[in-house]
Amino acid sequence: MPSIVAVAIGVAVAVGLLVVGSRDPAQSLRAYFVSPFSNRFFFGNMLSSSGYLLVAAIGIVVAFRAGLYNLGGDGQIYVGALVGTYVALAMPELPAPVGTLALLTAAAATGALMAALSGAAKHLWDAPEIITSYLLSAALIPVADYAIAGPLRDPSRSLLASARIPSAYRLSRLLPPSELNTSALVAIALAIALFAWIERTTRGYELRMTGMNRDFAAYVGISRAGYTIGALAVSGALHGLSGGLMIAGTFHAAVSGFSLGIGWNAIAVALVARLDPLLAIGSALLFGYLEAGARTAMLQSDFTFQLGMVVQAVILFFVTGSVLIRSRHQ
Amino acid sequence: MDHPHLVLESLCKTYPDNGVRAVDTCSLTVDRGEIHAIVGDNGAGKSTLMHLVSGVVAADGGTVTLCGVPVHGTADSVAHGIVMSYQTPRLVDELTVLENLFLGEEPRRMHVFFDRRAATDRVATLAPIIPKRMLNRRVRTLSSGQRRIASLVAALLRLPTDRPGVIILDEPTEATTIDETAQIVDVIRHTASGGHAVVLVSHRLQEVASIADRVTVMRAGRFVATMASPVSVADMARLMATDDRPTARSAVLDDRVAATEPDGHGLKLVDVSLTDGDRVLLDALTLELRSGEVTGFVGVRENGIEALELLLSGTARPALGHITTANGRSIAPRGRATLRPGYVPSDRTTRGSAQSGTVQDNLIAVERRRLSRRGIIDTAAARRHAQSCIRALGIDAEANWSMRQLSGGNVQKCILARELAASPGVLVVSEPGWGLDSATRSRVHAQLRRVAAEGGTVAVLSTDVDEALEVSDRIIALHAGRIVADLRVGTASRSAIARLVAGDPTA
Amino acid sequence: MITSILSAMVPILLAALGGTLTERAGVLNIGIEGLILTGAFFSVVAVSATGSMVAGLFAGAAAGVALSAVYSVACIELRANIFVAGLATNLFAAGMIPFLSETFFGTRGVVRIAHDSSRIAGDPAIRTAVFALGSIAIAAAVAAILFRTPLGMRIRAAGGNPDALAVRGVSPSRYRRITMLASGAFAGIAGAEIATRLGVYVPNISAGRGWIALVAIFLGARNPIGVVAASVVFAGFEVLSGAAQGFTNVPGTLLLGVPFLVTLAAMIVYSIFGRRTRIQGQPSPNE
Repeated sequence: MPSIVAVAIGVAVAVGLLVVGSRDPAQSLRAYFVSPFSNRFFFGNMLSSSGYLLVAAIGIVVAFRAGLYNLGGDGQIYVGALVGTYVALAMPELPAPVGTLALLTAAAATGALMAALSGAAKHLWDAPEIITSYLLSAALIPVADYAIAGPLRDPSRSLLASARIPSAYRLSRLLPPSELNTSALVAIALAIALFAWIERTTRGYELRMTGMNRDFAAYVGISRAGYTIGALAVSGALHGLSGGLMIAGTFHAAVSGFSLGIGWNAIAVALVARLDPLLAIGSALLFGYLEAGARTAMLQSDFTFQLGMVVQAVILFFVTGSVLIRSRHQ
Repeated sequence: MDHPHLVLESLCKTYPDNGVRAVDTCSLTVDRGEIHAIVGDNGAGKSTLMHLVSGVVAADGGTVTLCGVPVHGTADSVAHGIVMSYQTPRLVDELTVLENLFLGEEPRRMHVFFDRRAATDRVATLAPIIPKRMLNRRVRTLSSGQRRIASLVAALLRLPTDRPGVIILDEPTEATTIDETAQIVDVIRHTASGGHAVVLVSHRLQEVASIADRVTVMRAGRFVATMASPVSVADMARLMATDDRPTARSAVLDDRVAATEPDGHGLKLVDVSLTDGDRVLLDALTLELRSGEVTGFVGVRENGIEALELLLSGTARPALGHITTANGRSIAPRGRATLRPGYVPSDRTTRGSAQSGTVQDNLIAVERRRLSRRGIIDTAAARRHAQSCIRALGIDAEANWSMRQLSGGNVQKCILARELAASPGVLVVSEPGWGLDSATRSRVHAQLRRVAAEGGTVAVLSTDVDEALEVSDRIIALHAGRIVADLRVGTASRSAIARLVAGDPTA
Repeated sequence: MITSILSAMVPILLAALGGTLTERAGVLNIGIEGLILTGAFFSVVAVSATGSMVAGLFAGAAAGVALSAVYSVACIELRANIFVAGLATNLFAAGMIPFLSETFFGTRGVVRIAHDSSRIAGDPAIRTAVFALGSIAIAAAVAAILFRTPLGMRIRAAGGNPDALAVRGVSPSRYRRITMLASGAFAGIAGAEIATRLGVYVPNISAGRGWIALVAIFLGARNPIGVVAASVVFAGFEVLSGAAQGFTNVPGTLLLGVPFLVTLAAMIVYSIFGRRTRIQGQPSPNE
């Protein structure tokens, strides 16, 4: 089934729920579909969150194209962001670009390490990464929660959040007063770079062959370890980076639970894009729009629930009828 | 009861994807209580014929009738009492033998439970060949001979009990021990004496000669002769072969061997052994494959040929012994101090190709680094490489086609083209001719000979003796994991080799 | 202590038994977590409406079956990737429940049972005994079905060698569907058990038990009796990490991760030691 049909069904379900559940359906629908374009603030925020989503989604693309399931994205983003924040807070005196870079590197490295552990367990012992990546992430999310609520908490704020990172480290805003910042450009650049890497380079080719048929890849002499541990590490790094960018671009502090859910959202984005990094740009914008619509619909109407999740779920039910991912459980 | 029992009338089948006439106007009558053997080389059309009779494959023309009633399709044939035991047993590893025997038609107790006792009793009455204690073992733990027996019994249990049926046995004694073979032969005789017709397909000519009432020889999709017992192995082998010239290539051969330096870059096997459970696949094999010549290994796949393929290609390591190249390197698909041999595997789609990739993706796989500059694939060079492969073997496809669009023969050509293009020092080819028409087949053989002529070491593993003779300089016959013959081509006749492979020591 | 372990065992065991059935039929059920959540929510709805715990259990089972019907249609009829459809099941539950909760109760967070919850749950000791014995009896029944009936033979064949089943004229998909629906019922009851015990539905009430159940399947060697043992082990760690809040000064938030860490360790230990070697020769040292 084409992605567009899956998305259409998802949106139709959203409309149905809004109409059924809202006391003023017209107002809710307007808020859902129109509000993201209603002013610079909403529009910029929508683009900004699409950018973070895109970075995580291309992380999913790398793993899935190698035939591996990374279900730990949520934790890799959140814990990566926390570690990035910690590094920025611990070294407040660095020159501006270096400080930002340190934050992002720490975030990416954290995500990479988390995912690579699942990759190593798969390579060494054939432990299913679909389970271990989720469990590791689920085990570490409470640790991050604890750090934010405890040792790293800024007691001067009412929010459960860390202190704010030095203002020099923050990414510059592109469309004030919205949150849109340079990270959106980074996201697009990364998507294009990943596309070129997968389609044009020898290593990208090796990754694709591994994802298509692991036995064939081994037979032509492609490293199993490299494209199991390595591919998951890159996937985790992109998730961690997404978390780091959110800190440097929008939140400026680790806020309890601030990113949770984005990891799952990224899987939907990547699958709707048929695991193509360039199409993921469009797909991330679409999901960013639907999310922003759901958020404003909740703010502006009487009605609050996880509309975005339902839309994602419906899309996921339909989208893989056509997407070819190797199902390893026969 | 006036009608003849099983009648095949002008059966035809042409496979649309490669245009091969697998079965060409074949007619035959098999009587009640008769053991009728069908012999022929690989690709002669025996399997297709069996599938037509059992209804798994639909015929293009002709009819199958049982006691005067036409039979159409699998369900119909089972209802009429035509049952089949496949060459590769369709058994579930996790289930016990007893459960496998009755899967799909389970006797029940209290409507809910599987009635083991009734099932066991039925096996004891109808097929006492299986010892009771084996019934409760999981299939996973069985040797391949025991699996063959289980598969045979599963078919026996589905024979009608109230009237004569037909049982089709595809290589029932392949990969079985001597004792098991004797047991299976007994069962076959017993079944026929109960009035059922037995259609037996087998490579083991010796066995066929001893149990069959009549033998039909098949060649290139046609029945060439039907003979009544006693039939000699030599007669069968002679009729199976396209012609029985003792391959007279020796003169050419000797020139070529002399022109290149033998023993330069050979492959050396020392005491190589491999076992699968209690079955010995390879038994302390020691030999040297010389460079500059094509060595053909012939034998039954499960009886060592398959294992040898994995070892020679470096896919598996021997449990004991070692394999090295002339300069002492070991072989593996990848690694610093190892050599990746050119390798055409027997499983074309699970290992030999990436089915969801394009033809070009598949053709550049081995030489991806040579076709790249600074880590980036040189698109133009990759395209040229793919196109030259396509031309070299006449692959019927474009470089950007999905591999899934290709017929089996064209997939085979892609794999061959890729491995040949890498000009390997050592080349291991399993069944080079599978799925290829005769023109392409000769082209492939010429290419393999060229690799050898240029100083390469080529190993061909084949269950098709004719093909092995055609392409090889030296023939090694394996039986039960041992070398039973090591001959220069030209010194042995085709039928003698066929008899050796079939385990006939008098050959 | 033993009571609390048994009581923690029940939902893990029930969910894992359903998962064992699908796993045996060849489907690793990633959607269990969402099925538990759905069962929990609808049991609270039913108990609030009727005041009967039994009605709650039935409602939980029915809701689980309904959601897994959607899941199985996606996997079998639409041929969706089973893992992605499993994720969708989890997201769907997590997204839909707040909507329904808002619609029925006007809140999207905590939903309390509208009756005296201790009366509904009954005496804790009796309740635990009934549920623990009941779920172990169900484990025995699942074992009997898997290993003693034609149904179980076909389920195992659907997972072990679907082609062998198909050549005997039996559809493997049919048995996958049956086990997925059964797994929905089991996970639904697991959710209902948690919610009626606590007398409340809270978001994420399943707390990862669906994933723990998945690992319990493997640790129990895909055998219902083994799964009972694995569930007891995981329940033990759950109780221990809960109790640790009392007798250590490790913060409670941190302890929330412990069950996952233990489960992860179990999965890896199983991968290292639990698998049969099926190798003829050794795979080449590629790397």
